[in-house]
Amino acid sequence: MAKTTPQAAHIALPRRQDLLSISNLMILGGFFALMAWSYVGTEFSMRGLLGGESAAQIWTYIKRLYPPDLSQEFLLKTGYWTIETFAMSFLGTILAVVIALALVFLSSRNLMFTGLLFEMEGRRPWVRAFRTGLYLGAKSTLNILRTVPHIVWALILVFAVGLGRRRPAPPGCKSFSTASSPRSFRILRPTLSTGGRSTSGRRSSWGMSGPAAWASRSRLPSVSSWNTACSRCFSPSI
Amino acid sequence: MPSYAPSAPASLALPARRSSYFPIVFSSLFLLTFAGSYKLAQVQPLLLFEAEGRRNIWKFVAGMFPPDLSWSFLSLLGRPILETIQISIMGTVVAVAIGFPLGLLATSSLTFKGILNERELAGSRPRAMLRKGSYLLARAALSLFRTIPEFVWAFMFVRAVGLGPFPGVLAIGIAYAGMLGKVYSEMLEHVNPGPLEALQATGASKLAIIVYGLMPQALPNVVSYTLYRWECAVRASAILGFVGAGGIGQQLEISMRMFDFSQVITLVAILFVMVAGVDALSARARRAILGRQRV
Repeated sequence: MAKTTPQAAHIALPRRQDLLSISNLMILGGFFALMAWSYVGTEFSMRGLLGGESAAQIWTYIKRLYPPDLSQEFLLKTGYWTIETFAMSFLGTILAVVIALALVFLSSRNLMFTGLLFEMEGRRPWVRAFRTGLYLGAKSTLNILRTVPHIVWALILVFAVGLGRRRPAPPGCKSFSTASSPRSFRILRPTLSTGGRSTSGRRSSWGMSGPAAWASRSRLPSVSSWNTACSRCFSPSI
Repeated sequence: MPSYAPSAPASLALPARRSSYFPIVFSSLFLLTFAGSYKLAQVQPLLLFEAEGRRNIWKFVAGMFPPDLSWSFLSLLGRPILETIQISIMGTVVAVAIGFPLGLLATSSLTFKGILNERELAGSRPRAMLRKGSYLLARAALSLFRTIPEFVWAFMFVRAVGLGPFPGVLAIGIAYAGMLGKVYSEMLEHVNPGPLEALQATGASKLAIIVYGLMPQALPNVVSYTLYRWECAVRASAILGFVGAGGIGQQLEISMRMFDFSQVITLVAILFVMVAGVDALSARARRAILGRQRV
């Protein structure tokens, strides 16, 4: 019968966390310093919000909200705009998924150059370098796409496509797709990079290619529904 | 004595595949929605490649280079960059301050459902209704906060408190409170109930159950999601300047209006560096806070 030595038992015990350790206190101190800096820099003032002129302005604003405009003409227009907003978010999401899927495989380390799928490729460094280059290129593209805010994409595309008959709806759609595709990617990437490493490895041993091994793990529905929700949030402001 | 009849042998035939109309109905619905949306949104993919579209895109791309790196322009950006970061930090703090209590109220397992409330609410119908009412009210408030985009909140707050970074903070604080509160409540609802029941069995108070049973389980996800929202807040605060709520967006709007694309590319590059920096910082913070718990 195997015996556990006292030393082994000691190693197995989890280390007790010290909540008041120096590193924790430094993180806390840094956080409070950042908060104080932001508080001063943004001229944050509850008195400014709730007292004097601001309160009067807010009250005027609220008063003017009532009664809501429920005229038939306005409701019909709003209905049309709502459907248009939905159409923009729907098409934008589809385009975003198309763009994200085109880049996501190239941006996953475990599908491009590391991990179990590429263990046997040590003898061909130039292939690995090429794949790394592709990975870095795809990743930078996604980073640039997601940095530029939706509204800036919309303005750029309105400038390119124009207004009038070419109304803002098409640029709106395009701005969703360009700025949302990295958003899909951000959700897809962890799934690709970490999720199911053993499963993809096992499937590759069956002879499946890297992307096919990943694609057999279907996680797309949750990603697409999340992204549609985001698009719906942004479409009214564009 | 009971007689044991031999069980029927398992059928060797493969189970019959159940036919369902759902995929056909769903696909048709999807295609119909796609066609309708395509028509309604007036999508013309070729528009970008027509002569005028090409000319405009070229004008835009050519105008971007070389980027404006003159000192007179860069010196204008120092304060707005800092302001953008400050808006994002303060906005997230306000969002957590509003979203967390509302998230607790909007957690059904803490307000009226489940083993934590069974004994307390048994036989007390008014109290149960009051709890459920507070739950519904918190949910409604969170929905309202997150339904209105931060851009629209900023527009309203600029009218209420004037121009500057403060309306930006309020806009991010309110809009993100709705998102954070909703996600917090879902995280808190889906923790393992075992430790909570064990604590309750020892006679622990509700506060003790929350502090020692609920929070340790939910904290990693709560911190991780809050940091992710902070990253989003940086991006959001960069565009709130379009409606006068401070930050780098104000300069971005001026440059876009003046068709000065060399300034636009400089601003986008700065935004890129800023977002990458915040990403790296929040990844470090996440590792520092959560790493030790997960190891």
